[in-house]
Parts: sequence; structure tokens; C-alpha cells
Amino acid sequence: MKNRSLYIWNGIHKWTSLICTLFLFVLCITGLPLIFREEIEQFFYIPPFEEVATEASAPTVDEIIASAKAERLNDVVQFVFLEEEFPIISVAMAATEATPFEEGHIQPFDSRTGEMITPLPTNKGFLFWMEEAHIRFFMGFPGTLFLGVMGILFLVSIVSGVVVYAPFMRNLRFATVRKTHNPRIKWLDLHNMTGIVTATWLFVVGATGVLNTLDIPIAGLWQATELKEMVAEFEGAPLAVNLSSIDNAIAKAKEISPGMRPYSIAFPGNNFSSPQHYGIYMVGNTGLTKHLIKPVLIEAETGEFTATRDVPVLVKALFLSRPLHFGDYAGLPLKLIWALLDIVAILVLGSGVYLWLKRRKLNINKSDLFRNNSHEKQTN
Amino acid sequence: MKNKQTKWGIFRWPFLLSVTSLTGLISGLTGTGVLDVVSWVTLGGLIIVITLSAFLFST
Repeated sequence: MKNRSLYIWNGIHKWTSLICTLFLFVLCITGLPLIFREEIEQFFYIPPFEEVATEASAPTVDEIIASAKAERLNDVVQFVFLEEEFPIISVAMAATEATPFEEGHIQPFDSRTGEMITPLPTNKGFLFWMEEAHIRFFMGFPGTLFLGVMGILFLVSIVSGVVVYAPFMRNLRFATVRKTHNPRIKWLDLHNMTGIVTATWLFVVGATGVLNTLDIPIAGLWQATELKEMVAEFEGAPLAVNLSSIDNAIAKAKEISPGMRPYSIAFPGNNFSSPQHYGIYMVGNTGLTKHLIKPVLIEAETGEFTATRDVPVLVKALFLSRPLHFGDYAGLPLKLIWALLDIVAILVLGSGVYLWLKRRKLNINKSDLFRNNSHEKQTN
Repeated sequence: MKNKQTKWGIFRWPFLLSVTSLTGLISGLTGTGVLDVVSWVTLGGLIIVITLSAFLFST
């Protein structure tokens, strides 16, 4: 590579890394517990489930919703979530249909007995603060977008890092870490080795993280185009009053999309339904389909089917980018590996900062960096 | 190593590890069972390469 272009790539690597490093440190550290979110919730927050002799007496979803309403007489139902891992059905309620979701209340129920479960702490607690830092950087949606920009810089830094890797390795075997008393050379080798080995993983986690920062605008775009088209013939209709059975609506949605199960239900009047519809969001049971949500719209008053369609490619990419970012899609072993790779990423960042802090001396001894340790005596 | 390496010489191992990483990242996502194990072995392999390089195979 010509010296001038190497100089430019080096500059790109240095500056993109320097700008995003501090934020990446925060993301790596706060991301670590978020990999194990499910385990943490189960251990600290969800009470152990009692054995139930028979599930034949399990309440219907309509009955669970009725109990939720009885607890909060002045609120309306916005969403119902049906867990797969645990026998939990949660009912999200708020003052009005249009109240922002965060301002509502979520009440979980044991789906086998219909008993209420103490809700997870919202707006406080360890996981909440980890998410605040990792997803919103304590600044709400602008914070999310800011982290997205940092993520883009990180991606440029990975690509430029791979480019500037080559000249360092001309005289070295792959993954060499020279045994030397010179800490700069040792950390340079460690930075190169850990960086190049994890480059693809870092890039995928970085890129899916960037895509995740756009989830609100992507959802908004989908609502304004696809969802609007699906319920076009009901435009301007008033809010449904006499709601029909949600269990029947679920049965209808299952009939329309065989082999899928309901994941969440949006009630009439919010952004994920229409004033006249239940938005029933279905997922598959295996592999990729587990992550790809499909909407089925059922008329809330009559229980009649209105429309269903696959989400567009961009929304599918967003759905897949969640598991690919948090590593929670192939059991506990993958989560543990994800955590180790996250720690390696912290090492890549830390060694990069160290090398920058020692940059002047690096320049002076540049000739040594491209040789192997047969010259070590001269450098010490 | 006395001779300068070619680009392929420098990047053949990183390229192989990149393909391995992608295989692992995708396999666990597309299925369960054996495909999960593939993701553990391939991505766990990266950790093994790093550990060996850092402690054993240093020059």
C-alpha cells in the first residue's frame, strides 16, 4: 500500500476510534448484563412458578383481561403480551388509548391459574439503568440516535482497522504476540490479534446495534405505510366500543397463519392497530420464524378477519438484528461466549487507547514495530 | 519470518475466521439443536484462538 493512502487510513482509524471509544466502553460494560437479561429477570424478579396439577382449568385471555380491568377501573387496555418462555400473560393499561406506552402500567398474570404476579419494576432497578445507558444514553430517543452515530463511527473504525492491520503483519505470522519487555509492542500485538480475530463479530454486533437505534422510526414508517394500507377501508372510522372476544380473535389469527402463535395483541386505537381493529402479532415456533413477527388484523367488534401480510425487508432486518446484537438466540452457551467476546472487545478498546497514549514513542520506534523480536535487545 | 508476506498470506487466517464467525452467527439464528451447537463451536473457537495466541503460541 502506498504510504500516502496508509497515512489516510491510519488517520481514519485513529480518529473514528478516538471519538467513539468512551461510548463503546459504556456500551460494552452495560451490554454485558443485558446479554443475560432473561436469567436476571428470572432469578431476581419472577417468583418461582408453583406446579399446577392440570392446565385444563386455565383461564381464557378474556378472563385475564377482565381481572386486569377490575383492578384499574379508569384505565383502558393497550396491549396484551403472551410470553413463550414462562406461563405469563401481561396486560398493559393506560389512561387512554393514545397515552404513551411508557406512561402505562403492565400487570402480569400466571396464565395457568389467572393469579396476578408482582409486576417487574419499571423506571427503576438494575436492568432499567443498564438499558437507560445502553439504549438511550440517559437522553431518551436523541440519546439512541447519538449512540447510533457512535456505532457508525465504530463500524468505520473496524474497517479501517482491518486495512491498517496489513502493514504491521508483513513480517509476522498470524496471531503473533511477541514476547518482549517492551509493553508497547506487546499491546500492539494484542490489539492487532484480538481485533482481527473478533473483527467480523464486532462488525455484526456493531451494525445490528446501529439498526436497532432506528427501531422507532422504522416502526413509524411501517405504521404510516403498510399498516395504513392494510386498514385503508376503515379510514376515519370511530373507535370500536363493543369489543368482541379476544380468544376468538386469537383463534381466527391462528387459523389465518397456521403454525404460528400470538406474541402480542394491540387493542383498538393505538399505533399498532386501528380504531376498529385488534392487531394480533404472530411469530413462528422454530428457527428464523421465531424472530419474524407477522401482523394479523381482526375487526374488534365483529371478530372478522381484515388483513395480514409479511413485513417488508427493512422491518425483517430489524427483527433479526435484535437477537444478533444481544446474542440471546442459541441458549446459555452462546450467551456466555457473547459475554467473553464482549470482554475481548473491551480489551481491543483499552489496548487501542493505550497505544494512542503512547503514540509519540511509537513513532520514534516505528522501525521496530515492523520487525520481529530479534531486534528486541536494541529497543530495550 | 524473513520474507515479506503477500496480502493473501496476511489475510488468509483472518478470512477463514471471518467465514467461521459468520457461519456461527447465522446457524444459531436459523435453527436449534445441531445448528445451536455449530454456533457455540465456531464462535467459541474465536475465544480459543485468542487465548492460545495470547498465552501459548507467542514467539
